[in-house]
Amino acid sequence: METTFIHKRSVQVGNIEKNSRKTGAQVFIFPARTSGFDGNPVYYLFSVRQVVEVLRHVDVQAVPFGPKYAEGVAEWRGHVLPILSLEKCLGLQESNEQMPRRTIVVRSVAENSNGNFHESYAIVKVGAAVHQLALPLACEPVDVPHWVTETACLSGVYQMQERFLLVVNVEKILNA
Amino acid sequence: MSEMVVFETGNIQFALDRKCIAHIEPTAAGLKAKKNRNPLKIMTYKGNPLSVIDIAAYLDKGIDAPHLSDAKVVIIKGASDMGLWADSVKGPLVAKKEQMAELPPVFTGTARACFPNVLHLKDRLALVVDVGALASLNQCSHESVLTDETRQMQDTDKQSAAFAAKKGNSNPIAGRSGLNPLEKVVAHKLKEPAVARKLQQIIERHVKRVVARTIAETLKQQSIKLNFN
Repeated sequence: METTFIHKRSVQVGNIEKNSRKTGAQVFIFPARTSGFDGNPVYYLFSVRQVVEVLRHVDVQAVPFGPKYAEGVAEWRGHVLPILSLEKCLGLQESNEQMPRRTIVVRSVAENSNGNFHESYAIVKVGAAVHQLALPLACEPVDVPHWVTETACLSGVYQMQERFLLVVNVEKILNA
Repeated sequence: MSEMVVFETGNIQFALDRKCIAHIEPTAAGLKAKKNRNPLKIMTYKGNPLSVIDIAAYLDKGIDAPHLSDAKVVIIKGASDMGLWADSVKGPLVAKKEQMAELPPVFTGTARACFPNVLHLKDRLALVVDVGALASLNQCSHESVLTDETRQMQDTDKQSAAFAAKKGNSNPIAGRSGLNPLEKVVAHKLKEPAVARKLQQIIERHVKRVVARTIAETLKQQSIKLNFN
């Protein structure tokens, strides 16, 4: 698993085709913790630069009165990070607990009003079957499906064969 | 550097500044073990009623039932009617500045007010409790109970008025059946909600005093019996 270091900008999905030939950009797709819709599995799409680390184990400390999509906090490399449920952020129905899972640390980069870049990190639980794909992807943008009930934190939805790829705006979730 | 007391409830670790703690009391006989956690319990402390907040009970997902064998109540200094339930108390430790971190910005509102910081312990994290914010929450819990009760009585009033209107009785109070005289007075005063709320507070305070006195007397009698035996 590639571990990335600090970069100035994360790869914007809209520029995938433009930059892919120059940089050979890669993306990861992780299964969402949901049973799929109309027989089509659902995945989250992250750029390689967004996925910082895959964790073997994380001790979750629940936080009372927190938002429903924040399961708690955990310690990572001396930092306190929130643990997010992307399914709850998007209003998806979570599948049963028997699906093998993986815990990853994702990075988001945002530009503030002074023109400085600010990095944020979060821990996210996803399905275990990760796929690393090279851009460009043979996919097409689609309208937000009806089963995504919370769209505020969604940057885009794509369909690649039978798979739905959801691009989540982690920065928006962290600053919601 | 500050001295913190770490306690655990519902498998969550919390830390409290030692200066905020008046006393750590073993749980009272009146606090019985129950299957589910109750966010607010009442116990007697030095003859007065004490609200005991179980923070873990505010979590949405299921938490282990409280266990009374090591349970303690952390009495807050300056808020003599408030305590925090602790399944176990880990004892004081000196926390360095580097061990403190801010709660991530995704947590806002009550979560941020009650737990503004997180303490790095050797093996786990502990949420640092802001006693002032919890005291406000305690106050709101009491008020929401009063508001709910007031609302219920207003609904009862409306239903009774509708029933009385149906029956052709113009006096809603006379048309109401099954209400004792105190309830009738409070129901009548519901036209002025502020007055109704005040009356409810007075009643609640009086009830608490009577309950505390009864518990104290019962315990005294039981201790006398034990001495005789």
